[in-house]
Amino acid sequence: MTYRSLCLALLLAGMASAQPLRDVIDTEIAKAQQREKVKAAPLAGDSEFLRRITLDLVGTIPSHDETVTFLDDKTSDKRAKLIDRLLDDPRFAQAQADRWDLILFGRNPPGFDTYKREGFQTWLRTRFEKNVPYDAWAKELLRAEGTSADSSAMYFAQYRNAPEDANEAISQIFLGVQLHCARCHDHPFEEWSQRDFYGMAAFLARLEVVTVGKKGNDTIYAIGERGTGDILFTGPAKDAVPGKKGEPVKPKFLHGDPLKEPAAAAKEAKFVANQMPPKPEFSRLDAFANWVASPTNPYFAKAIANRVWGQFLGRGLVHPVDNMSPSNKPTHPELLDALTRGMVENKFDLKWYIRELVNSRTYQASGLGSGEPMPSWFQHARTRPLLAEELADAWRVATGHAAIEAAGGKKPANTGRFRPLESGYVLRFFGSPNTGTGDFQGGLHEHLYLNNGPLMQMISAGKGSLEEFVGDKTKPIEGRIDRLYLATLSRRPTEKERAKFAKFLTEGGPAGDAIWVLLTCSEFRFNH
Amino acid sequence: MRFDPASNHLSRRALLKGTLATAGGAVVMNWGGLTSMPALAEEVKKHQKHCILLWMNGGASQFETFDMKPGRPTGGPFRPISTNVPGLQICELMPHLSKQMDKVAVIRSMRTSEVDHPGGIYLMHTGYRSSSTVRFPEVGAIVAKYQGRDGTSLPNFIKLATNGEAGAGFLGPKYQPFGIGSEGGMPQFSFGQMEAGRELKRHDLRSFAEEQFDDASHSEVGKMHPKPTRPHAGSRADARRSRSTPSGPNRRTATATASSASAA
Repeated sequence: MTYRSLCLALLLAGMASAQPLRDVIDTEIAKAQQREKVKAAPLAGDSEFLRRITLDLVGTIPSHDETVTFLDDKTSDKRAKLIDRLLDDPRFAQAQADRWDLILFGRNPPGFDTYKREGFQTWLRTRFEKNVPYDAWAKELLRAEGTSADSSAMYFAQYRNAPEDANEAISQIFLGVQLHCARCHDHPFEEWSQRDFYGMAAFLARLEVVTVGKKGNDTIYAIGERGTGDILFTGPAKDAVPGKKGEPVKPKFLHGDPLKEPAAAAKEAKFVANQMPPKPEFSRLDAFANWVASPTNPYFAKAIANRVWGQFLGRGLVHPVDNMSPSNKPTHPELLDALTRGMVENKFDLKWYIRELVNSRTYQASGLGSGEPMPSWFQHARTRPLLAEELADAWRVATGHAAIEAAGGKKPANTGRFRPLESGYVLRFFGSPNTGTGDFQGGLHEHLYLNNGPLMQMISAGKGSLEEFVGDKTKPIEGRIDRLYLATLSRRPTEKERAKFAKFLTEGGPAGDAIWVLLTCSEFRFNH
Repeated sequence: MRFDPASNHLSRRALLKGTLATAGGAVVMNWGGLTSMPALAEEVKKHQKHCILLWMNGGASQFETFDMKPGRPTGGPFRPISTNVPGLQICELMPHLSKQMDKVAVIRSMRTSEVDHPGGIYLMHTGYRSSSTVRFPEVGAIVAKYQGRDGTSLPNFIKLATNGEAGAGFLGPKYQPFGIGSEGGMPQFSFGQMEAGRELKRHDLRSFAEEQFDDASHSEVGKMHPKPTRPHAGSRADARRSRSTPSGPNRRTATATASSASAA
């Protein structure tokens, strides 16, 4: 190779990686669509895009004014500018933290007191506010330093005396692999053996939930790590007999080397009540955290690249996002590699990554006229139900509660996350509207709540509310109906809709009922 | 989900009287078989069988009811009596039941490795130990799924007072128990305060909005969201409306949670 051609080759290689990730995404997605002979939907309209991006980035719908400003903006780069603005909005950190809290704890976390985790939630939100790199905060979380009041320690409180459970959850969330079958037997069709499972669980076997103080009525916990102790392996569950003692298993990284560690501590440190437990001389947990959240870990970067892709594009390139295995191959392997590389090269900067995803043509495809809610080839936008948090926030924005509160108006009696609604009801009826296998289901209770619950009171928010505007007979009817649609569905009504609602309102239909209709309809319930 | 091969159930259950012959001459056995054998499920459905689970939390000990241990350290003060099933004895305090024991299946061999009540209650309701990654459905939800009638105006799974909150698990909200309080009250929000005429108009408008979205999106989404059923006019409007089952068929869509199971 001549010097010249070498230079050229280097230049080309440099250009390849200099291509923005958003373009790589569109190229790879289009390539696969051609191969599969599926037709890509046109670009989403402004209303469709605005509602989708606002829900995805800041977890709520745009207000009436935000919607009108965006729709009337004639500049060509308004979408990119909106994305930048939303990524720097304080609500972005809140919305992403809500989502990760759900990933890490679920709706009904195991463990004592784990439902009281404001300390954890604040810690998580702060990670997104400061845009701490994902690998850094994942490592921090897994090292379980600090207390439940001021750091991530509550995470491990879910798995008190249950290193096997902790191992299942951590490998699923941070490594994107499902090991739970290997807990009781060698996995029948994956590469995980039962030894792999216990080798990983061994890292977590010495943890203990320790009470270190009180804050008001709440107990403060920390995670202590003992200097001795092993997990016992008793062989396949089917051969288990009462009283059979297992053999201790040494820590071993998943498909990697056994941990090199000094002999167990000669003397066990005492955990004293109401004192922070001392760090052991050698911490298995730290070794584990450093390995899990390392850029060279074969699973870690790929798992987060795939998970966040799934969050915004509806399904993972490996789907479900936490089941990466040789028998569950990615639909777009080259793209997944490019995303993973980008994640590592950009030092796990999630904000950068999300910016690339949502600026792609692929993300901005229309979802109208589509059918399939989770298209495999990303030929049109996915449809997803709003999270309970998003739904309640969207109701607050649409009805005018959010604006009235921001203006210092009427303070709601309840100040909870779902105000003015009771969080217990919202979580129960909208908290997990799915079958756990990706199927959406509304239930009877959701229907009763929408039909007979406190929504009507919420709509009657008084001065400055949407109801006041829509019900104001001194204003022209067209303007009232435009406002109704812009405030709830972030779009202007069609002629047909305008006629139907005009008839309803002029024949004496209450404005609150018209609002109720749009707050409870499918178009509102889903992000599309 | 896996159950024993149906043949195991058949031979065992054939010993019991009052079994249900299917068209093919087979015999319907336990509810577990319903999920693995569609033909049996159909047959049971035809006979309109129901499943009633009486959960006697903190009830009388098995040693004083169906699993007496006379003469052993665990034996209580009462004596066993014979029943109309040779070799099967129960407590002397149940003389009437002793004449009906041919209609009862007593399981004395069961043991679990759960050490505490909540875990045991979950296991007995779902058949599984609780897991950090999978939400299992309880037996009522399973029966509702395989035996429930679609389009009925009554919920398929009714729970009176509650013990064990496993619910529908991964089967989804459609099979969630319709919970009635221990005092017999209806679930929250069963009744609306709205006058029937106004309610009708509101629902008419909502149906219109749903149609618009269906038309615009050509998506199945519109069909998965609970659609309002028309409230029945008349004096019983409220009560009847409360029993409507509006949930549409279950369609695939992106899950609300970011992860497939762990977060759900």
